[in-house]
Formats: sequence, structure tokens, C-alpha cells
Amino acid sequence: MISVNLLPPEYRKLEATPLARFIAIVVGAILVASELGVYAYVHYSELRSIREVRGATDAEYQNKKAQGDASLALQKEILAYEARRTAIQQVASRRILWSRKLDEFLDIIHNKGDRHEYFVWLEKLQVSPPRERGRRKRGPTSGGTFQFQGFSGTTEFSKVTNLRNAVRKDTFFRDFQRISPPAFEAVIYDDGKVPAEAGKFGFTLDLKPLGWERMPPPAKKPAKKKRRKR
Amino acid sequence: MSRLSEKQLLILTVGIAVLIGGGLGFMIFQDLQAIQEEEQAIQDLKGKIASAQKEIDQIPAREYRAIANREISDQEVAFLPEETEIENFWEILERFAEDSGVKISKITPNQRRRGGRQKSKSAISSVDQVIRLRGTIDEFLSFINRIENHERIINVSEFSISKGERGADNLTRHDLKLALRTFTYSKRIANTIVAIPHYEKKKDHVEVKRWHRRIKIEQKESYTLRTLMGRRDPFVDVRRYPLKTGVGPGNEEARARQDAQVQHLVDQVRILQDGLDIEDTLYERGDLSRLARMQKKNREVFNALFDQMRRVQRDQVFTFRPITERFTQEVVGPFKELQKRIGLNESRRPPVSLTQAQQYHQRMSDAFDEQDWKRLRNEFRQWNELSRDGTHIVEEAKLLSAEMAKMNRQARVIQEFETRQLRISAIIFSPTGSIAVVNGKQLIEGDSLDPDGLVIVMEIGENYVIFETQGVEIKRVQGQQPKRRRP
Repeated sequence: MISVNLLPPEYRKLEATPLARFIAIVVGAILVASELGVYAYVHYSELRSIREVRGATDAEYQNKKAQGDASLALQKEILAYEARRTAIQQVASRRILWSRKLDEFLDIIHNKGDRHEYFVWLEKLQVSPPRERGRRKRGPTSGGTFQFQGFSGTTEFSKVTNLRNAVRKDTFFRDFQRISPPAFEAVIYDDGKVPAEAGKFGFTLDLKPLGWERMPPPAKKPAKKKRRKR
Repeated sequence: MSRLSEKQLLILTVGIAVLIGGGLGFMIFQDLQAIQEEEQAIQDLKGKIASAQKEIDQIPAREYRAIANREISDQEVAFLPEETEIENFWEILERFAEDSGVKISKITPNQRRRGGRQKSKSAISSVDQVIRLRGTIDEFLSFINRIENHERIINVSEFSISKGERGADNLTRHDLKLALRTFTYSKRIANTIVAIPHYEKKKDHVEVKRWHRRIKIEQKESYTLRTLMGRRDPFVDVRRYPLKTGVGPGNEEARARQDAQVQHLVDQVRILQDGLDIEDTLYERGDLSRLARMQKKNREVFNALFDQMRRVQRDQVFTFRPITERFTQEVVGPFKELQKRIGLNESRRPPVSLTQAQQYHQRMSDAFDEQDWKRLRNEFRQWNELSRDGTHIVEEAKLLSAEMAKMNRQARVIQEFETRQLRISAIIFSPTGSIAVVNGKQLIEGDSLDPDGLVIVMEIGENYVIFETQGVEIKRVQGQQPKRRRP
């Protein structure tokens, strides 16, 4: 059925908002209003307050950091002193007084003028430092070498061994770990001087590692347990 | 425009509500994210604060330890030269060479191969030198002993001695090679040195003292050479021609001469024995001034006797067996005993007094004013003998001793300079730049006299030229005797 409203518009009955739309508007308004409220709380209260806390914590951290850096600088300075101290100890400990060694050695050779035990004169003397080991190798095993060659006033080999024994027993030898067996060769002269024969010899002494007096003694290996045979 | 239908309006309404709600929801979500990030940042900062606080808690202990290290730093590095002082190293070597008698022929840096690839990261660095020199065994031993006893540490790392040659003075000199190493440190221990508040007060804290007790300060070892007593040079071939028995024509004159020589030595030994007996008496009486004079005299007799004995043994003067035996029994044997006595007496000698030091200083100053360099150096040699190279003196005399050493050095430099025999033949003086003709060579201020650069022209005046060599300024007046400047 077709209905026509003949009343002029000002006299017509106003139509109410449809219910669905009304509910939608109300719900929408409530939702938006709630969200606005939540947003305002979160943004202007929570976020602001947490940022203030962060600012204060940051300021505290900067202050602590400055003091902490000063403490670390002190520690660094202490470590630098200790590194230098260690280096100085190494320098001082790894030192041989060669004037003392040479003085002692010359006394051994001279042997207070005695010629019976042995009587020698030298041709060459050389002191060499230890060879540098590679990066992967462990510490030095020798402090260098002390080599000397010379002549004995007789071709008796026993005189050379006497010299060797005298070197080993003297305080001169305390910084050495081994002395080589003597190389020996008889030499004959025809210049009219005495003795007309001499024994040419040579020795090599290996020094203990420099600073050996301050090194800890090597740890003893535990004894191996023997198994009983049944 | 057609009106929207109800459905469309509904959809529109819902859509707008969803859009606005969604937008707000997204903003809320973002703010929540920001809050979470801020909370995380706060947690991180708290962690860092805790770490910093741990370091801060250690400040008191570290301050005491740093103070302890700073206070003993100078003592620890006492025997190391600073980087700026290394320039004195060569001057020191030159002085030791002169004092011991060796002659340095070459100094080169030591190019040592390293087995490892790592560079040294030590807090101190080393300076290596190889020196070639020439001298007797005794001179060489004295040289390396001076080096090793020097207040700054210098290590002898290697050396070699080969057979030598006898010179015109009958002394055998050897070619010697020596490798030395000294060490330097930088006074700047760290990039940042923290200022410690109330430093002076904290220095006396018990914790600082405790650290001082724990830290061991290295001492440099030194060695005093044994007094050489007829010890032969082991590098000299000791084979000799057979000894004569004293029988036969032509031997009487030689024997008589050698008899007289050995008798003279025996008499010297007796004189020395008597002198030491007098020393003992003076010591018992407490007459220290006469004791010092007697010790000096006995020392001179001892040195002269020692030189004579060494010459006899080196030159094999005695060729008759009975004379050789008498020499061994009546000279060498007693001499060893006398040497021990002298050593004992030396140890009880009082240090040289300020008055004695002043006397030597005055005599050296007078010699300097009179330009008598030989006398000045002689006085200094005597001073060194008396004071054991300036070590056995009272504290108040140390400054004078240092001045005397300086005067001696300047005298030596001036003596060397005078051997050049410079002659200033002409001076063209001008305020803008003068020219001097020295030994036929035209020189201006700043020029070096020789290619070696040892002597520099410092100043040219109207009738004089001032030269500078090895830190000493020497004035030469044209046509007159040379004048020197006092220290």
C-alpha cells in the first residue's frame, strides 16, 4: 500500500533515530570516550611519570659513572705500576755480573801461580746470550754460553780434566748448569821455547736460565704405582 | 544528492566509531610500548649503577694502594734512567773508558734477531749497543766493572776476548767486543692520573704503610774487583826460553844486575811491612789524621811495588833459577800477606773529611786558574785514590767531590783541545756577521772545525774566538795564550 503524507512538512511527525543506529552511536561514543580517558591517563600520567623516573635514574647513573671511571683509572694506574715493577724485577733478576764471573774465571786460570795441577793459557773467550725462542716455545732453558779455548802446558790429558774439575768446583760455576766434555788435541812447537808440546783444548759452559735463583723449584712428579703381576 | 539508506548510515556510524576507536587504541598501544621501553631502560641503568657502585666501593682501597705506589715510585726506578737521560749513556761510557784505560774504537746499535713475532710490551724499554775496544785484560775488567757498578743499570749481555799483541810499553792489548744493554722508563705511568683528595693525610694511613711493606724494592747488585796480585794475562803465551843456572862466562854481569833488582824488591817489601806496622800503632792510638796520611803513603808504596812485580813477571826479568826462587819466597809470598793486611786496614779507614775535600778542591781550583791541567788531573787522581772514587767521603763533601769531577772533565777536554794546536790568523769582525780564519780555514759562528763536529765556533769577537767542545767553552784570543772559562 502506498501512503502519502499530505501534511505540510512543519506539521509532520518527526521520525525517531532508528534503534540500531542509535545503539551504534551510543556504543561508539562510549568506546571513544573510554579510549580517550585511557589515552589521557596513559599518556599524561603513566608515561610522563616513567619518563621522570628514567631521567632521575639517568642523572644518578652519570654521577656514579664519573666516580666509577675515577676508580677504574686508579686501578689502571695501579696495574701500570705493577707491570713496571714486574719488568724491573725481571731486569734486576736476569742479570749476571760478568766482571765478577770474569774475575773468578781468571783466578781459576791463574790458580795462584801453581803449575802442577794445571798450567794453561787461553786463545779465545766468548760469552753469548741465549737464543730467542719462538712465540710458541716455553721459557728459556739456558742463560747463554761461556766458551773458551786455549792450551795446556803439557800433552797430559789429565791436566785438562783437572782444569775442568777446578772450574766445576769453584763458586764461578754456580750460575752454570753444565760444562762440555773437553775437546783435546796435542800440538808440537819448534821455536825453542819450553814446553815444546802443548794440549789444545776447548770448553763450552751453559748458563742456567737468567734469574734462576728466583724461580720456584720444579714440582716433583708423583711416583707411578706399580701393578702386581698375578 | 541521494540520501543514504539506514543501513548505509549504520555502517557509516560503526565505521567512524571503529576508526576513531582504532586510532585511539593505536596511540594507547604506542604509549604502552614507550612505557615498556622506558622501564627496560631504567632496569639497564640500575644494572649499570650497581656495577659503577662496585667500582666506587673499591675507591678507598685503591687510593691507598695508588698512594703507596706513587710514594715509592722514585725509589723503584732509581737505577733506571729516564728517557730524557739516555743521552748521558755515551758520555758515561766514554768516562769509564778513560778511567779504566781501554780505547773505544767503535759503537754501534745492536741489531739482535728476535725469535718471536710479538713486540715487547714491557713498561720499560731497552737500549742495546755493541762496543769494540782495545785494552789489556785488567783494563777491560775494570771497564766492565765500572759499567756494572754504575748507579744506573747497564747489563753486559755478551763479550769476546781474543789473543792480543804486545805493544811498545810491553803491555799486551786485546781486541774486545762488548754488547751492552741499558733500560729506560717513561715517568708518565698512565694516561690519566686521578687526583686523590686529602692526599697528604692519606699518605700516613696504616693501609699505605702496609702496602709499602709488601712491595719489594729491587736493589742493584754491585761487585768490587779482587785486587790484582801478580795475576798474569791468561791470553799471553807463557812458554819461555829455558832458565839459566848462573854458571858460565857472560852470566856474571846479568846475575849481579838481577840480584840487585830482587834485593830492591825485598827492601820494598820490608818498607811496606814497617809502614803497615806503623799504621796499626796509629790506629790503636786513635790518631786518625796521621793514620790517613800513613795509609796514603803505604798505598803508594804498595802500588809501586805491585807495578814492579807485575813488570818482572810479565817481562820475565829473572832468568836465573836461584833468583827466581828468591823472588817467589821473599817477595811474592810476603806480598800476598801484606795485601791482605792492607785490605783489612782499608776497611777500618774513616771517610774523607770535609776539610780534606776542601783542600783538594782548592788545589784543583788553583791549578785551573793557572791552567795547569796536568797538575789538576794529578790532584784529582790522588783525590780518587783517597776517597775511593768519591765514595768514601762524608755527606757534606759530596758536592765538592762532584765539582772536582767536573773540573777534571773540563781539564781533560781542554787538554784534548790543545792538542789540535789551533792558530787564529785573522778575524774580520762585523756586527752583522764575523769571519775568523783558523788554521787556514774560514769559519763563521756555528761552523764546525772538523767534519766530526766535535768543535763548534760559538762566538767571534773583535780579537777572540770562543769554541765549544763536549760541553766546554774555550776562548782563544788572536795572537795570545788561550784563556778558559771556569765551571
